Amino acid sequence: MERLLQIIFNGLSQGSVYSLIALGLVVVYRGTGHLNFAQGEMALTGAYLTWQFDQWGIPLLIAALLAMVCGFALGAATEFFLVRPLGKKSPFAVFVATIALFLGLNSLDGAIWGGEAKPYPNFFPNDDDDFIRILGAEWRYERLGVFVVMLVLTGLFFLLFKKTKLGLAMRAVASNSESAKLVGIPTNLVLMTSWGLAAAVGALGGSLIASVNTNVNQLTMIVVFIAASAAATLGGFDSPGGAVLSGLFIGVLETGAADYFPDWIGQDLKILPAFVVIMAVLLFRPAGLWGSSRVERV
Amino acid sequence: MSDLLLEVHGLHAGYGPIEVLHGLDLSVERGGFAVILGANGAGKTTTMRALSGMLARRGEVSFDGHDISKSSPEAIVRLGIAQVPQGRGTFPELSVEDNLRAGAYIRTDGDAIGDDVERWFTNFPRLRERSSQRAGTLSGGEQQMLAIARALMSRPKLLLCDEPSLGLSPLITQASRSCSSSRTPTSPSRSPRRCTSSKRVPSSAPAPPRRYLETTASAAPTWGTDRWNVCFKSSSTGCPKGRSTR
Ligand SMILES: Nc1ncnc2c1ncn2[C@@H]1O[C@H](COP(=O)(O)OP(=O)(O)OP(=O)(O)O)[C@@H](O)[C@H]1O
Ligand SMILES: [Mg+2]
Repeated sequence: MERLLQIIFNGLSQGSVYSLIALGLVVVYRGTGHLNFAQGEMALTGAYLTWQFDQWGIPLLIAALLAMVCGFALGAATEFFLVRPLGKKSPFAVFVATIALFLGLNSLDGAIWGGEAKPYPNFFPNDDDDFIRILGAEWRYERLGVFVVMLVLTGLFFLLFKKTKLGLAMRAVASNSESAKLVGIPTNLVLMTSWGLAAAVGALGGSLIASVNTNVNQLTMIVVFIAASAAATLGGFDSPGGAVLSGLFIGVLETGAADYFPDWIGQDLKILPAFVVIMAVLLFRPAGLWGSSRVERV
Repeated sequence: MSDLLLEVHGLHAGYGPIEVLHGLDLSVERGGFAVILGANGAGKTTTMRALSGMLARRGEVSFDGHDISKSSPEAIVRLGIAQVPQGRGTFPELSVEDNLRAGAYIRTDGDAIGDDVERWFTNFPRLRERSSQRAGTLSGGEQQMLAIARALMSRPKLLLCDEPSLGLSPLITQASRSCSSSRTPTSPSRSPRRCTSSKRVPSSAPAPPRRYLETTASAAPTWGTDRWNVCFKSSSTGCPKGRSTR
């Protein structure tokens, strides 16, 4: 029981980061129908920026906020300069462009911040006794904090979508962009904002995972991005809530797999069981657990 | 101010290399009403899309004293043109109520928006019953009601309806016919194909309320409150035949 609970705690924290990146993927996908391959590397850039601002003596929280602002600009610029002009011609061109951006950002980060891992500052208290004990299992503040931040951010997104005019516009554009234009929604601006928000959340997610890992390097986001794409697929690419829940699920599942089967699976293969589950689920629910196969009527 | 709300001269539009409208002339009076008739493929939908700025076009288009020949769809909506697109174009994933609210996107008078939603629910009780249902799961006719109500949520001065009666029962059709628009003043020599009168508004139909297309820009306070109600209520008494089911 204690062991299971421990796995759940650790898994939820790990999964929170997947959820944040997956949330970004879903926001972009719903708006433009594109899978942003560079989402993980945008997050990596955000993580490096937080590190850099911190090095310059800016308080860590402000550093992370600044990184989110830069992330927003990066995402919005991507939409404006790459996705918009290319998307008019062909969706495949956007696909290739986001892959190019993935590689480009990764090498750019490498060129600026060097090949070796940077020791990363911690957002939350992490002395030996900084944890709460629940039924015998320990939830360290640094991990609990990640989970809480994710919950807050998801809540904010929910409010944005459901309660604000921008959210209504984002949902309208995702649902039918022609009609969105016809009711006067500036669809381009809305899409640019979607990309910006996705990248801003990503920047925070990247900084958080780097903080949990205690370091950041060029490979930090690769596996995270794969897990996040899996989460978005499992949840259904058009369901933000589904992406978040699936991210948490994958986090718990992989932590459990690594813990219960250290020899067969261990740290290196821990994500694999999650993929098996996802494939099984997609066999029965092709649109993902919470995804909608579009309804239309003539 | 001129008595023409919408004035179009020599409108050309099409899709890439294919030109569909070769110099269309058209006008709609203030408080007036116009119908465009034409065979399938004649270019009626294209005309609507060109007027609302959804297509590249050239020619003179002036609306309410503004040149809108190069304006974006957003700017055109803000000037007061709303469109019910062919095939309804509702937001299938959004609830009925959110569809209406999205229709009011350009408005900033928050409370009045709620009142208008309420008004359309009163006019189309079916929509109220389904207010939290996703629009994509409405019946075809219910979606058409929603599309019309959504277009009117922006409080337009001119309403463009593309095949507004599609899928609607005669009762509702009577009501929405009064909202349908545009006539065929395409001068035959310029029109791509002669517009054949494939559809005729039956002569038994009640004379369309003359103000349907225009809701007097100056008279904002009286906007709609009675007028639209009258329209839809009068339809239930003014429908001579084919009343049938709903
Ligand atoms: N997206 C498009 N690309 C190329 N050609 C198009 C496109 N949309 C319409 N057309 C062509 O433009 C012409 C006019 O089409 P339009 O939709 O305006 O006709 P319509 O008068 O609305 O017909 P209907 O009564 O069938 O709705 C048609 O010949 C059609 O093939
Ligand atoms: Mg048509």
